[in-house]
Amino acid sequence: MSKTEVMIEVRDIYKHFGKVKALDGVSADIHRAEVVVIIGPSGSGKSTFLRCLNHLERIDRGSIVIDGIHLTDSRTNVYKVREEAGMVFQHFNLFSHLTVLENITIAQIKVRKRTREEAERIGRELLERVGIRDKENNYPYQLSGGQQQRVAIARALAMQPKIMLFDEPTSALDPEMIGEVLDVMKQLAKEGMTMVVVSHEMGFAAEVADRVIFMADGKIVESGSPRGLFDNPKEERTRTFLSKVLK
Amino acid sequence: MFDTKVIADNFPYLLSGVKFTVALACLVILIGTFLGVILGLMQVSRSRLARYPANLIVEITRDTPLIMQMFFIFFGLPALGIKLGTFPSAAIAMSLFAAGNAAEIVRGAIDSLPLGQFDAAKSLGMNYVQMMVHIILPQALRRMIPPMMGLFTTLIKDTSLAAIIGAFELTRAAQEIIERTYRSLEIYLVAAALYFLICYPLSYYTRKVEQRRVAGV
Repeated sequence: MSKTEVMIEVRDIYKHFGKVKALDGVSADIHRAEVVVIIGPSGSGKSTFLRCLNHLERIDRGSIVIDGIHLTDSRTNVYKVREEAGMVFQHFNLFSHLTVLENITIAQIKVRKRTREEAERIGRELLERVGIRDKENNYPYQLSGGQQQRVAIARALAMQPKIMLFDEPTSALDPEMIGEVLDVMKQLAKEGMTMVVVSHEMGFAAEVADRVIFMADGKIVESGSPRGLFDNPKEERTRTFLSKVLK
Repeated sequence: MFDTKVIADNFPYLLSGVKFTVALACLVILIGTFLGVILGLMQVSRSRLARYPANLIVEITRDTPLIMQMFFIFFGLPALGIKLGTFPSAAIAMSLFAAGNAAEIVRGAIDSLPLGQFDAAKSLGMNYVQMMVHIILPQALRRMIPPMMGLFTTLIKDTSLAAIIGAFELTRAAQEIIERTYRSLEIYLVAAALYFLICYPLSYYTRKVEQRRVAGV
């Protein structure tokens, strides 16, 4: 598979929260079917970076182009990009008043304008794929964290996004449930999904990532293949961070 | 000592007061809720043009006594050439008061939802209206019901303030009977019982709803 086509082009973006510089001049190219894992200490701007990619945060300066659509150009583009960029959150954020199946169909029906029948068919297929077909009529609070996160992944996939953004998808999970979520993500990566994953799962990064980006203080400190970055970090900041997490 | 005959004789007159109390309360609840939802949505809007005037109205109606608002409309506005009867004055003052308080309930319920619900809706490509209609309001509505019921109960009781500007309703009817009969104990007791009968079903229902919420449904 060709990985030359640029899917996400980020040029010199800045984001401030009050006096705090969350992003301090970040640029990156992410290619079609590439899996990029972003690591870094908390407060390094990695989640903000991810949220900027689908305009959940508005950047102060710079440009983001996703599959040819300039995110900063107009409001229409914002909605278009969000339809194309699925997002999975640390705390799942399932809609608590809707059943599992309704969680997956609502945006298909209201945003993608699919019929209910078609949306439900797609929804059931996806539930099958993430291994919780039998829970379609349950409410989110009746599910375990790992199951909720798999529903959240199915919900995002139902929109048939071109890229998937994962914001610490396993950080809020009990250890025994991390594996089931990572398995779904690995499967996605294998199928050629373009993925940007903010994560502390170094094992996942080593196994699945094409590239690992290390961020600190709102900047990309270094990036490279997982083996290269984990085994031979060039920067002192990266070494210090890795020595703390790779024990 | 306790005159039951005076109660029996004047009960129909008290009931005619009840009619106006119920009418005033219904009017105020309907208009107040309607305006309150609009004001509440304006308060959570991103547009300052919507937010600032809504905040102003809400703060004025919430931070001044209801009785002053009634006095202002009934005794104050005639100076500007706007003359309103006792019942319309009471209805307008109380509707605004209800709207301000309902708006705070609507705003509070929306603000109490986890921010992740907004993020998730946006990330699926929903626009503002889709997000509010399909995701935010259905969840906020459940949180609004108990405090709204509480507000309605308060409003029903506060209709008695309309008697002070002379509007005819249950309290006024009781006062008129007492002026004729001097039987304060009996008449006020019955009037209070009538208020209780109107309000208690609401409070009872509110408690039921709250218990269901605690049960996690």
